[in-house]
Amino acid sequence: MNPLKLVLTGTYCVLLSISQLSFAQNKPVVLSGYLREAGSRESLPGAAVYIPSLKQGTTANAFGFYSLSLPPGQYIVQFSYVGMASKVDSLELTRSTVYDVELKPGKQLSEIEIIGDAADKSGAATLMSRMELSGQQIGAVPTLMGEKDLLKTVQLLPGVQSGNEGQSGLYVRGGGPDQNLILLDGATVYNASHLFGFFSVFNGDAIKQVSLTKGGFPARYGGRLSSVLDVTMRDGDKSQFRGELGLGVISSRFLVEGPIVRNKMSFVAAGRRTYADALLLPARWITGEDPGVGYYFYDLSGRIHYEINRKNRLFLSTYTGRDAFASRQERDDGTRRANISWGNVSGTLRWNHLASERLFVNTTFIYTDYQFNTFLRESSDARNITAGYSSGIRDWGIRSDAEYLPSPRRTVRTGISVLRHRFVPSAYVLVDALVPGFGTQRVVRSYSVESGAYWEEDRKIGTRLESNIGLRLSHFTADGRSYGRAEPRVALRALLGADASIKASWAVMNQYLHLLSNTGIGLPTDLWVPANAAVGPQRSQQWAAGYEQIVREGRWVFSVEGFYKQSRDVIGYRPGASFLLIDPDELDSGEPRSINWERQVTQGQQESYGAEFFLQKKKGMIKGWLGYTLSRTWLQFDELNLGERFPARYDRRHDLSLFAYHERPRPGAEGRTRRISSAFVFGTGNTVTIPSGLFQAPYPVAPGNPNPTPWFPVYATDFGRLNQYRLAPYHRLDLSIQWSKKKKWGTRSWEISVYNLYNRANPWFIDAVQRPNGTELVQYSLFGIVPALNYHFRFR
Amino acid sequence: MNLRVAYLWLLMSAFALSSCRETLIGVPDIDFPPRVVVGCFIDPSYDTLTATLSLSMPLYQEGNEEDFRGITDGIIVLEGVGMVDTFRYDPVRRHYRLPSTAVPILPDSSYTLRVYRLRSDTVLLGSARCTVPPRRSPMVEITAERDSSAPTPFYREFVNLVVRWPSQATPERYYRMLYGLKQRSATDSAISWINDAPGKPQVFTGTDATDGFIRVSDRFVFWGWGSPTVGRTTAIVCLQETDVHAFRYLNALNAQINQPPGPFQEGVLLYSNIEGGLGCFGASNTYFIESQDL
Repeated sequence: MNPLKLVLTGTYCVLLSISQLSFAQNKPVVLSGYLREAGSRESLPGAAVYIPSLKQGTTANAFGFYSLSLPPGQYIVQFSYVGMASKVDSLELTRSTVYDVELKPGKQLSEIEIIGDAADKSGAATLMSRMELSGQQIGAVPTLMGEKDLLKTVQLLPGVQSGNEGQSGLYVRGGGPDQNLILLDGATVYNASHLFGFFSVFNGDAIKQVSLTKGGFPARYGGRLSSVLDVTMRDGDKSQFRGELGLGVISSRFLVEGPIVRNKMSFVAAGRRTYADALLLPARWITGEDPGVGYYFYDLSGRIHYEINRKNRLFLSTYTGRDAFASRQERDDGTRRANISWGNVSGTLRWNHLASERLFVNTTFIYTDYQFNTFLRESSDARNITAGYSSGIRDWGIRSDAEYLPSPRRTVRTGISVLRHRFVPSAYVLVDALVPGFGTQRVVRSYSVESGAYWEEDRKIGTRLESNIGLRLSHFTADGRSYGRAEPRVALRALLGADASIKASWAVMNQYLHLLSNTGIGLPTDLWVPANAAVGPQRSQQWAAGYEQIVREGRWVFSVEGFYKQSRDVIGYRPGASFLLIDPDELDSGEPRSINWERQVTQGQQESYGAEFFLQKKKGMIKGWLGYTLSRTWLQFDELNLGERFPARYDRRHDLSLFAYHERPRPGAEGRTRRISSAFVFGTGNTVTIPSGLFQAPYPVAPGNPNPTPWFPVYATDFGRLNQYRLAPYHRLDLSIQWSKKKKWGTRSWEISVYNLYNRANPWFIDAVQRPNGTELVQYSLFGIVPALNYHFRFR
Repeated sequence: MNLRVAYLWLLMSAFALSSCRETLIGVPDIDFPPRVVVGCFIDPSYDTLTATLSLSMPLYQEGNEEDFRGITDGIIVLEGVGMVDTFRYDPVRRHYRLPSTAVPILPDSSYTLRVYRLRSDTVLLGSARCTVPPRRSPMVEITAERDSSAPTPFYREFVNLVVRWPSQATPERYYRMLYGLKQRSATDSAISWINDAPGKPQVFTGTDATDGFIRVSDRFVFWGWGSPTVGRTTAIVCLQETDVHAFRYLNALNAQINQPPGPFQEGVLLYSNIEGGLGCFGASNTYFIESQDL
């Protein structure tokens, strides 16, 4: 047996045994069960269970399961979840009891306030730098063209920055988009963008919950340096069929859900498709000419949830999404067709097993695949050439997580995971059907195995101190090279009275996959490759400390966090790097030369530090938040910028976001509501490298030249230093108004949204343009004011 | 949905799609002062050492056109192996020259270049140091053969060339390689370099080696009037082992020339080891290898 596997398995078993032993010394009773939404039976992750007399409580895990160990006795128990009416029960606990609870959506504001109060006091976690978003919040944020977008919502949180105008990439605490682990029901999403990064792949209608962890990572997470975005899909309504239909400016979407076996098995399916290609049809009819180009994207996601019995549940989640661009040119000498397509497919099968009232085990089988394909066919009398190029990454894996709750003061989590990656950095085929024997094809593949084992423990020490201490052992094998590393994690929280706490954390992270990006704007040509002997894994350490204050009975929550992150061996691109991985000049040769990506990257250091301020209004007619981040991010590579450190492209000293929405029934109009949402963002401009001058570059003459001219024959450009110029600040105000009305068959909503309300010309990129009177720097802007209208109908 | 709402929906959609636009905004000028540009490459095989001196031309402000073309009143001092001498400006060739006998260039020796300009006072514009690589005589193998030719009146022939030489990545080694054809007549011989133009691949490092060899292959065409001088033409390779400064400078220069256009492309900074300026003071050792007659 592989020594690593032996160690991992042993660790797993020993830890659980120790936990069992420690439990055997006490004889409390156990109150456990599932917390669900009444009617749909949708699980409620993070719902709070609180016992006022003991001042003790817990929160439901990601699947809505809770467990509390208590001395036998009579208790008033409060169950609550934000947005739902709380439930208070009196329970006589003489022995371990299973008590499932269903909560109803809150109908009155006062009910919601009560819930929030209990949840805020009992459910506050030790972990820091972690934020959660609900589907409701995502739906309320006004966005470009009215497309509800998870990643654009996440960009409004402090510590998270957007990249370029309209892009959905995330830059978390100075890290790049490659340093975020994006999980959809446990499966990694390698390219989370549609339409070259302007929209994310997540359909907001099907999302139940999103959590973003920016630092203080618990040991259960690993594999990326900067953040973990964990997206959970809805289970589907187990009692009745429901549906939603949305019509937007660029796409339409649907969602259906309902029981397959009433109260046992449910499904949810959601889809979206753009119709830019369909909008071109009228042009074809009017002009009689084929425009020759077309583009669309679609995504489909679904989930089946099956409660086999009280102790076993299955979840099958799937996602598929694709972007496709096609062009066709009719020429005098033939036809030329080109297709580019890219997309993700993922699937997870989860098995929840309640081994005992204290031990919850979740095992996940994972499959995910990202492919990028280009295809070109040129047909003429002279030649009939087919050329194709593709790249991608495919994962198969399994992970098993166990959560053990021996007492209200202690929770132990442990688990293992193994992922097998298959990389295809480049595969090409080149055939000329008219030339016998002319043809070549080659597929470059590599395989790697990424595994990890972790242990973490939440522990309450005394009445004021809580800790989450863990260790993750990660291992990676690729191209005959193995890396094994330990990643300690520590998070502490001290209560300062009933409504205030201070937190601190330290986390070590490793990243064994690198993203090769030509431009940093999220093109589908971006390529994932494994760490190997030439380019090792990236590694970071992050320290964070913060203060949190709950104000006015949980109506407001204020927090401030400072962080310092130091990363080693992050990758940068050598001058002129290209990652097509095939020399384009040699395509005609029939045996084009492969380009080694390792020789085009270099490794260096990154340093990020800053402070994040977050003021959230959680209750009342107006909800929302104000986030502000003051930070710096520096890079240093021996081979770049003459070895001197320089600011990262997305180094942003000031980043501010204000999001608020107001929702209330319209007075005097039965069944009608109106929601007004607005979001304002401000950020220091990105840094860019711009040309500063021209010069005659010296050049060593060819030896033997009797009349040497030691000048380079064309002028070279002086770029000064990397990223020494800063673009103008970015700011924008978005607004949306939604009117909803209950109808006989459901609820219909109209929404008018305006992106960039005051038509700010934000910088997209700048370019040095030659004018008759000299060179000028010119700033280009992409989106001005963009209004949109969306229609949405939710069937009962 | 009534007609009025449908009309509104269409109108708003059209407006939304058309409002994606591009705007041009002037960015205020930035203060980028001219920078001194120094160039000097030394090699034991050079009879005459050359050096260049100029100022860069700012893109957004006025600059001195004359200095941009070359500074004529500079003082360039080369120091090494216990000798010191000053380059002389050659107004015809527009650069500075120094006979190699004045300061002999020897393998494994270090040299310092200092550049001054006379104004009211003598001002040090820049300085740099470099070390000539040791003499190694690499075993270079050349395979060159002629391919098909085109009919007269002018001839056009292809040459398939494969060059390889052993190298190691540790400690890192750096090379510049030029290749071409050496054509002889009864009275003369001339070298036509194929890849000495800007942007052509010329420089390699030890990490480019596969199985212990750096391998370069090319297929190029040459032509002329009349008929080819069969048997009087050879392929010639000039392999220079350079120091790290010359390698990085030439590598960056090639990358800048080959940089594809695009608004999101990162600018390629030219490497420089000139303290206080741009350019390069680099060193190399040159080896010539010639194939058999083609």
